[in-house]
Amino acid sequence: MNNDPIGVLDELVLLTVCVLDSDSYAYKIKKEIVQETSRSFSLASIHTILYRLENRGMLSSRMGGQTQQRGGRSKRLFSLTSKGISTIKDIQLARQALWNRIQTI
Amino acid sequence: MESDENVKEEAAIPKLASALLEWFCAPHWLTEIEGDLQEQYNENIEEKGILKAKIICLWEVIRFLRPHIIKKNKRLKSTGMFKNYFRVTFNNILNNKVNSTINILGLSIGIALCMVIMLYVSNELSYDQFHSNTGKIYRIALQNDPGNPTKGLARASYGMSEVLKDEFPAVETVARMTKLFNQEAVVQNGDKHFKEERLYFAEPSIFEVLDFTFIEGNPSTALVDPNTIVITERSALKYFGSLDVIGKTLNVNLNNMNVNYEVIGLLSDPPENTHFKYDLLVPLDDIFALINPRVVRSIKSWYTYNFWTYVKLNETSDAVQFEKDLTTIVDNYFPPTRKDIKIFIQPVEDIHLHSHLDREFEANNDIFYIRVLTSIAILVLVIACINFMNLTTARSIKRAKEVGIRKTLGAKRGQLIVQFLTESFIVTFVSILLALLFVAAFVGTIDQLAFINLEVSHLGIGSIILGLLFLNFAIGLLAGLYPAFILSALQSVKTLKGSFSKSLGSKNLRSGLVMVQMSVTVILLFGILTISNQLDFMRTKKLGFEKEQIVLLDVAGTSLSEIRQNFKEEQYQKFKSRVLQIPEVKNVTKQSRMVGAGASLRSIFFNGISDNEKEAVQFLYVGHDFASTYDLTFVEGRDFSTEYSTDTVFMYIVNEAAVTAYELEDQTIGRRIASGDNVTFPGQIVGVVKDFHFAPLHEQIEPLVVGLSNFPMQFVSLKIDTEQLQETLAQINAIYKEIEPNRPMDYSFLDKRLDDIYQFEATLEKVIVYFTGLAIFISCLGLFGMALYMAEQKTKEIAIRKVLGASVNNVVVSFNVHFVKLVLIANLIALPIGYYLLNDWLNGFAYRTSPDIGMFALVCLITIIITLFTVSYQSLRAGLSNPVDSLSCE
Repeated sequence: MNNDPIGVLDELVLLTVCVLDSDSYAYKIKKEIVQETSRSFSLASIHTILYRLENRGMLSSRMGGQTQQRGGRSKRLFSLTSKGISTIKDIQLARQALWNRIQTI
Repeated sequence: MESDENVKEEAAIPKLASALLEWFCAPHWLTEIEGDLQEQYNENIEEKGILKAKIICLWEVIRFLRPHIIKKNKRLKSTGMFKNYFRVTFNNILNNKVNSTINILGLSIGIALCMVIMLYVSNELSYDQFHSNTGKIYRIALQNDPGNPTKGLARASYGMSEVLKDEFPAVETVARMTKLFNQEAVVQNGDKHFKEERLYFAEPSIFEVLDFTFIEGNPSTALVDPNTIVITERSALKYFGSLDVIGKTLNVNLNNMNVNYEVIGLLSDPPENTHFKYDLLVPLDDIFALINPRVVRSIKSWYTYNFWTYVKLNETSDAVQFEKDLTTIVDNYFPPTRKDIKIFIQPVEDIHLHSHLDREFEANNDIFYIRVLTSIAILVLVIACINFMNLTTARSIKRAKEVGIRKTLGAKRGQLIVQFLTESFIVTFVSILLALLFVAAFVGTIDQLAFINLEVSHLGIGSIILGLLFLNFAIGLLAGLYPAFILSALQSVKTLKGSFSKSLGSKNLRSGLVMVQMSVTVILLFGILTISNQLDFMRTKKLGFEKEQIVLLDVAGTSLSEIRQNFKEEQYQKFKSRVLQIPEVKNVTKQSRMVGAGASLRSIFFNGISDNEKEAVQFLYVGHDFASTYDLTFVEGRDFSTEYSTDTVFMYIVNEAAVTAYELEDQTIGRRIASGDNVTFPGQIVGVVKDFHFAPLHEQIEPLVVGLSNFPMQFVSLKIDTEQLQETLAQINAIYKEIEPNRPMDYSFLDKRLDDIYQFEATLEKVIVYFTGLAIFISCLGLFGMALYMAEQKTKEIAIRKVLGASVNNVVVSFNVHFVKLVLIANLIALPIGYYLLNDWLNGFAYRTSPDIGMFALVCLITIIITLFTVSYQSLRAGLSNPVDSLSCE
């Protein structure tokens, strides 16, 4: 397993980036996560996580996609790096293994 | 209405939010974060309404305050430099020990002095500010001598209170207080008995007008029932040893009557900063039970002024108009002979510094002295700051290379200014800490030296710290700004090449500053010489009467009133004849006021009993042998003496001033005159004495009438031979005890008592002597520093001069001449200013000295000597140095 552990929220963010594919930027990610988990997050925490994950080499980003809703400002669009992909895969595998060993729930 | 899209586009996020974000957010994140915020904001407006959207947006921005979102701005970056500034500052302090010592010591002494003065001044200014009604409380005072508007009486007539209450809508409450004339009460609980000077008879309304703190008891019932007493904590401890005093009994002996008082209230001790300090309060009406009805009538009449009267005006009233309206009281109530009286009001908070009337509760301070002290504080601080500026710029020679290198490495001028200001703030801070130590260490000593009370408690720690921070900032800026600008303006190329000293064109300015410093010193020096000169003059001036060998017994008789209870004539006569048997006692007499402390005004009819023309003249009641006890010189006539059977009550002696003023020349001896308002006491003049200073030297010798009487009087004076002082006093005491067993003998020496009159000036003298000493010391430090700097700068010049044949003498002289010139100019500037200022003070004395040319010369000489003394060490060192040392160093 990857020896660069990440938190649950980090994992959620990585997964969401994956889901949103080519249009994954902070605000959209936040909305998505809020919708899925019905918990509230501040924009700031999402931004912070994104920048941190990028620093750790799990995400890469590029600027683009200005829209009128944003007052013509461009977004930072994130995508998973191979390290990012293997990280969430590893987590998933570990989880699955554990789930499989549960007899009753 | 083009489309919805456009409206959305313009709904930008709130200005506050975007401004905040822009302020802290690192620029490379800014666009995307703003974009996200905008998107969310637009959606929220639709979903939750504009107000909520705004709040959410702002909240989101605040959440962005995280370490790696915040930009690493310049200000934060230069904290690193501050660390460096601190290090450089401390290195500098440690590397230039002499310089830093001069700098910090001078500054801290100056600041300490300033602090002490400020403590004192703030205490004086805080007098009576604590009353909850301050601003609305006034004291009613009378001006009873139209010829002398600065004099007056702090008390008013009894009836005034009712009239004020009934006829003046502006008045909300009136409160009267009095004391039993000049008598002190003797208060007793069991074997503990003390004389009480601060027992007052007061109306209950006093609690509504002034602020009192009741620990126990009820203000609304206190001072209402007769024979009840309210006492302070201090008195409670004094008499009962505990604070559990309610319901206990105190015995008060007043006017030879013993009355038991029930304690019904316990008050906190009055604060130091009030003009009215009390120990015991009893109901006002109780005083009338103590004196006989005839006297009560006199006390209650409009003729006599025995009641301190305070009014509290209501919110809407106009004090100026109220004061004007008071003339109606004179018109309607005062007897025809008193129509020239003027009634005026004094705000309670002004009494301590502005009121100098007769019958004050305590001797008041004078705003003049407060101003003098404040000026000294400021001047000393200026001297200390100038020192700092001078030494710092002078030292810039050494710092110039540092500036050059800093600039080469990219320091901006602003940064250098910040650096040097930081330095000056640090040095000031250290000095303030040191000054606090000084103050803490010496505050007790200062109390004793100056008899001033340094009270810190009323200031509160918060305002002290704020004050100190402000002081730190102000001095740091004042002292550091100039060096900061001069040093930061140096051009790096020049400083590194070594040709910077020309660009430091501040030599004239430095000389100017030294001159200002010396001028201030000169003014202070001149001041102290003038003041001590005047005080010496007063101490040694021949007063015209004997004061060295006089023992005063205060028998607490009364002067003006007709209360005849204590030390009655037969007691006095018995005492006198017994005491005269002691061989050391030369003469005995009695008098109503202390000779030298003033007399009282009384109506005199100089043209006999029939004539109704009367004059208000200074008047003393005395006993037989008055003139011979005090060695007064007779121009004509004789002393009152028991040898003359005619010398019973009412015979008069007048002074020369009276003879001239009232044209008594044609018939003096044997002239029939009378005193008292209704020709009460007819008699004749038996003698004329040379003028003597019966009143303090602040005042001219006025006409005086001395009247023989058998009234009990406040003072019995004995002229004694002081050889065997203690034994003589013991003998006198033994006789006194037999004759007056109820009251302890209260004796003092006249010369001491007279010195007390000039106590305030003497204190001022002391204070100014110390302060001036310190100011001169600080100036000397500055001079020393300057000389040090000059010697350093001129090392090569001096060496070359010496090589070319100059002697040590030449060098020293050329060095000193510069400073002597400065001092001379300073004298020229400062002496006239000093003269102008001091002349004003001297004019307050009727018998004054005048600074003469010798005094000016003396100040000049002293400053020159001090300067030479300070500078010569450096100049000698420079002169004696071996030229090889300074020339071969490269």
